[in-house]
Amino acid sequence: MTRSRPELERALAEDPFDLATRKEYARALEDDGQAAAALRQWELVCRQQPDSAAGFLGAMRCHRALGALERAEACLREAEAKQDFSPEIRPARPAPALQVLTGGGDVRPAAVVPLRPAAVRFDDVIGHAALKKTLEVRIIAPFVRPGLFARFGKRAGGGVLLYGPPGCGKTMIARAIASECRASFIAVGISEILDMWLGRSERNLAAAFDRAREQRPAVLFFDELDALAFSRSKAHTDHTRTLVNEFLNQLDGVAHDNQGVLVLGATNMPWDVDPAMKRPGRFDRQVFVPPPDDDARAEMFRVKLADAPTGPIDVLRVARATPHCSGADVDGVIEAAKERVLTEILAGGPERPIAESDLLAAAKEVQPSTLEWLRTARNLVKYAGDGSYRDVEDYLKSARLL
Amino acid sequence: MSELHGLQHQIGRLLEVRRPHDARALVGEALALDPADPDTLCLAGRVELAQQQRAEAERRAHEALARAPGHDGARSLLFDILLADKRHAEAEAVVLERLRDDPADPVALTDYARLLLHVFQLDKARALVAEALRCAPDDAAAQVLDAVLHVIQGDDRAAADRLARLVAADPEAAHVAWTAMLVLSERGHPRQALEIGRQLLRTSPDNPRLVDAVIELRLASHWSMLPLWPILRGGWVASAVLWAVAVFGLILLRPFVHEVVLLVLALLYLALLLYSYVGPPLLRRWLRWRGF
Repeated sequence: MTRSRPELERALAEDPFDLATRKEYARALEDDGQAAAALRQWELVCRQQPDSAAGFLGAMRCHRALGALERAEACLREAEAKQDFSPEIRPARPAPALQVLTGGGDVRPAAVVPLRPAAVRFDDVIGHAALKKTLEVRIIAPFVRPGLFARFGKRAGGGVLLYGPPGCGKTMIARAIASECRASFIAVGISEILDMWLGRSERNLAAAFDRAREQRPAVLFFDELDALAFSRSKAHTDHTRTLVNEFLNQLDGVAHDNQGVLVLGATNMPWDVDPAMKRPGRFDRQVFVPPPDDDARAEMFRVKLADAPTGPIDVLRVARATPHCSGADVDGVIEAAKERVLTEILAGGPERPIAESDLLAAAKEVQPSTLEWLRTARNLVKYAGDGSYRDVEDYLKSARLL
Repeated sequence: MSELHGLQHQIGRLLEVRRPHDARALVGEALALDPADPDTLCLAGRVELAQQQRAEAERRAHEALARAPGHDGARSLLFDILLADKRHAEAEAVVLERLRDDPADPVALTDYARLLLHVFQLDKARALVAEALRCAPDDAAAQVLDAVLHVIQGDDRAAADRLARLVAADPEAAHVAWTAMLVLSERGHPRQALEIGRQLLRTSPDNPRLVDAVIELRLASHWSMLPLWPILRGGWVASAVLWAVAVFGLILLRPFVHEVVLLVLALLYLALLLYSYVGPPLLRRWLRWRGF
């Protein structure tokens, strides 16, 4: 049985030398696309089991995912030197994705360029129609048509903070903004910045900004911004304060020119972000990403059930039975419905597709993960008198949570 | 700095920015490097405590103490767990052990004072905080506790003095704002305390105690509570005085004023009593439901 990540972490804390669990954990991280974190785990496997090829092969895959091809090659050579290495498990070397640009009439060798990974467009983001419109006008248009905006005294770039409950598509929207801006997209997570060595976190942060400036027009995206710019009034150590100071220094651009660099941040806990980060010239535009509405959830159910065997389903009815659910919760409902059907079939029942009743029953079992966030945000709106959460207030009123 | 120390530093940082889940992954790595390191075990306990896994946190603390019996971090962790579990006698044993090793440890003295505050041994708590401040005059935790104790004992002036020193040292710190809110509230400035409370709530909206405190402050500063100002300000002492003044006042006034006037005064007094009993809970419910 596959264990969840928290279960694996708990098991590893119990017995750090359980190699099978560590490998499973590393694979889970790889599957989640967290190559840097997975690499650390594979490196530990290598250290604990230096005569086995498995750890080196895992590290090789992670290096490849991180674009460190030379290190990947070195790991492969290490793996090949181990006794348990067999040629069958040798991974295929990554073939560069090819695109034929010219050809046909003129007999010339075709020019080949590596393809960029499929970009997420705004059309791929289900729902959030009003939000997309706002982002189009406030963020994308100044980037795409800088001349027009310059005539009105507005500059492209700056900082935008996307906030809202978890699982509602903040990261996907950030990616879509980058592709709509036709800009390079540099995504930075806390594992890429926070470093165990003193002073290196600040250097990592500066390097991310430098990279964005080199590749301008660029969108520099900080996921989990609250962890990188944690409120200094709540911090107990100087390390956190130093990192926030460096962040402010990079954003202010006194020594740097951030023209053409759009800095995006995403957070579930905007109240943990240092207030100085939200001042003009920094993350001065704060955009609330609400949970999807009924129509958006209906569309999600339609898209996500497309590949599964289903009977006739009124997706709008199912969507209405899942109020406040995020995209991740919708996945949870579908998975629970699938499990119900499979359990019935395995218990000797007839093989049948997923029915609407399965989804409605599953919807009752799934607690929306956004509720806790919305309750916390309600405290801000109701008691703290914080005018910067006007969008949240409107949403809570429309959802009858206020 | 070794790799292990680096990982420990990183775990501490992740705990500070409220990422216990990420910290847990690093704990596994640190334990893989040295499963017997008491600092790592102690951090593992802190991670568990941050995720409200108190039993597991306690097990980690004992594990660390088994390897390093005098480990300060582990004893401090164990103390925090026991205090959170309201196991006061066991917590006292732990903190006494720390004080036996170092009688001038300001952290242990403050922890002991905190414990005594929990069990309302205010005089002993005051003496311990005074000792902690003698050993470390700039210790913020001791200063906050000192101000809190002054407030509880009704010495608002001394509390305000302590607050002034805290503000001078670190005006933006959250603990200073908390203390300021408490002191202002006790000195009869609920409106100003409310403003600070609301500022605090903007940074910690997930703190239910803070939400309750802000609602109480709004209640105390609401115009409809003006007739109850003496009772709200003076508590049960003011209630007793008001009751005595009303009863004896009416008796003394009896020979001089008309009976109708006396009846009106008595009814007014009864209305005030009824209002003091019914008004605040109703307003509290209204404020909680409606917001402000």
